[in-house]
Amino acid sequence: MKELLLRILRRKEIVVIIITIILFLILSIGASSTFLTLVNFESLQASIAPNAIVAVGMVILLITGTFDLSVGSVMGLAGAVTALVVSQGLPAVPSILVGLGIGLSFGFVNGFLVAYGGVNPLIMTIGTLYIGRGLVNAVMRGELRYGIKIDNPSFLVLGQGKSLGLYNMFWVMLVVVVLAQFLTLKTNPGRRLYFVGSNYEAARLVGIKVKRTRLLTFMLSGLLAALAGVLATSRFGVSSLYLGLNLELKIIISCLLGGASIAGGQGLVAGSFLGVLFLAMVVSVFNILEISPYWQNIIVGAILIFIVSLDAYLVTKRKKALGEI
Amino acid sequence: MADTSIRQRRRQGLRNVDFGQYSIYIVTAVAFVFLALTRGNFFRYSNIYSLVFGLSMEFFLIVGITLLLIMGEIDLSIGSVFAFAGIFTGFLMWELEFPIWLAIPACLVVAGGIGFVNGFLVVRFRANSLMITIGTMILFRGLADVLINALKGITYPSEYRAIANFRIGGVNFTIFLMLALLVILEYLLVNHASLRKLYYIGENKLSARLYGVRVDRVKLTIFILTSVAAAIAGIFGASRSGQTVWNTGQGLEFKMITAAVLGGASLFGGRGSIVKSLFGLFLLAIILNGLVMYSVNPVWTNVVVGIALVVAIVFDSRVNRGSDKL
Repeated sequence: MKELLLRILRRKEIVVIIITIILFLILSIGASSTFLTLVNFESLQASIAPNAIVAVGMVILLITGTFDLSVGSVMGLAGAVTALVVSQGLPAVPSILVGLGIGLSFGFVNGFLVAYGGVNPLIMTIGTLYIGRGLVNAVMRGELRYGIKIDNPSFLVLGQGKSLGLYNMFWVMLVVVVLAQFLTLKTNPGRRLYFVGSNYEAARLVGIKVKRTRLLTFMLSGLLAALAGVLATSRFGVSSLYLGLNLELKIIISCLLGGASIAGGQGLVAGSFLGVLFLAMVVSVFNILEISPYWQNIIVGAILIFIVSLDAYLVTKRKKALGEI
Repeated sequence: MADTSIRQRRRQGLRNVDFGQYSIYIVTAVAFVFLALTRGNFFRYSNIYSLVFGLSMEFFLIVGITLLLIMGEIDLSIGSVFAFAGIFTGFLMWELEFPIWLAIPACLVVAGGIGFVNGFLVVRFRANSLMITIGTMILFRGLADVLINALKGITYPSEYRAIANFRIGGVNFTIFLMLALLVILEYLLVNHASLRKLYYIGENKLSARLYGVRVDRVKLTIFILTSVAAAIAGIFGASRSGQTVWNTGQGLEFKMITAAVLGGASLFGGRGSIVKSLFGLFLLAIILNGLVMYSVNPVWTNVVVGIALVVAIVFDSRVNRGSDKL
């Protein structure tokens, strides 16, 4: 069973890797003047880093069999509040902690009610999606609507500064991704996530603290979403009402592309990173081919429908092979 | 094991009190009376009439969602179908010069196709209806935007605009339509096998199948019905506004789910009633109306809707929960 599982996993990721490489080649050959320039590479870095960080939290939730639709709003709210406190003169580090604290508290509310209240994660996180987005609008009302400008250099260095040729935020992302990949595969608590996702009841019966796991994974997801919001705000130097809007679906699509499943129990952090990379490439293609954003939505929707159907088909097939249906 | 028996006993106790059975009526009545007493503008014929008129359009959305929730399924694409249908009908009449008696059926057929795709993928591949319909939601929002972009900001032809304003005895016919359908559907749900089946499917799909319910076919039919009903609502909505509007119907799906859950429907399936869902919708409308009457800054609207949703769902999980399934 484990081998079968691994084979499906591997196959899906290999598909994404191959498509990504093909896309990359097409882009470099077909549109070499625009794609391979340094500017594009830099903007790719900046667009990938926050999404990949959010995707780490999301893929861990997917592995345990839930998901979080509020990440986009949490990202936006953390960015807005951090920008607000920085612009009020609070030093960089405490400001960042304030932003991250918002993420943690949203994650706590989500996780607590889902784990201990038995609330459906879909509706719960849609609720906090609304609340978070509403609070963004409430924080940034009046003149602040057009964005809160930040001119604290020690805060801006996070998103705009570079070390060893890469943006600092990109380094942060690499650390998060590598650390999460290591923790989920090589440590016991990490591997327990997979047990919880593949069979919640069995995991509970063998003594895994499933509720606490739920709570902690939701808090991690909120924290990482907030981190992404802080980084993105630092990168742009100004907060935006639209930061993180409609991000949640893109992140879930990326994770599914990277081998995670709505049914839980599978997925890899590295896979979700590949998914984010893939989606960023697709958007690059759209932009180079000058496809309007409306058509981008249509194509993303179609990709999602395809991936979800494929995912469901594979899960059903596996269950049939195991005699569960 | 001890844990489950305690939980069962607790549930039993709550069931004896019949908690939640009438709560939606009580809460709605309290909110209504409160606003009527504190705000002079609220309890006026024009205000109440416009609330009910709005309700009669959204009725078509809540019907589909409620029927799906009873079966333990969900359709998040209704808001996009709502927008798409209104604009698509306008597009057929404006660009392709379809007469109205052809444009509306054509649009409804297309909407039926959307429902078919949703239902087919859910039934055939056992796909998660939530994720599938998020896909169709994004896809048809995109198509609606493409059409709106092609049409620019036009005003719809007068015969299209006339639909929503058609009145019988000074009252919009959509209100009569709503009342008639409400009585029929609620009767069928409670007393007739054709819709009674939905509860069996929601309670336990396998045993429903064993007792001879064609689960897949029923699900497919309800998915198609939901999309067609959402399209009807969209046509009314576009007819009422009279012109192309960006972002129509955005977030409507979540509003409908909130309303249905407020009205006692459960995401776990097996529960729900169209009358109560409609009251949930009415309660939301009253709350939003009340926010305006108390001149609360509109930026707080989303926060209030979100909190209402969370409160309703926590309540649902504590009181109505059937089992541990997601």
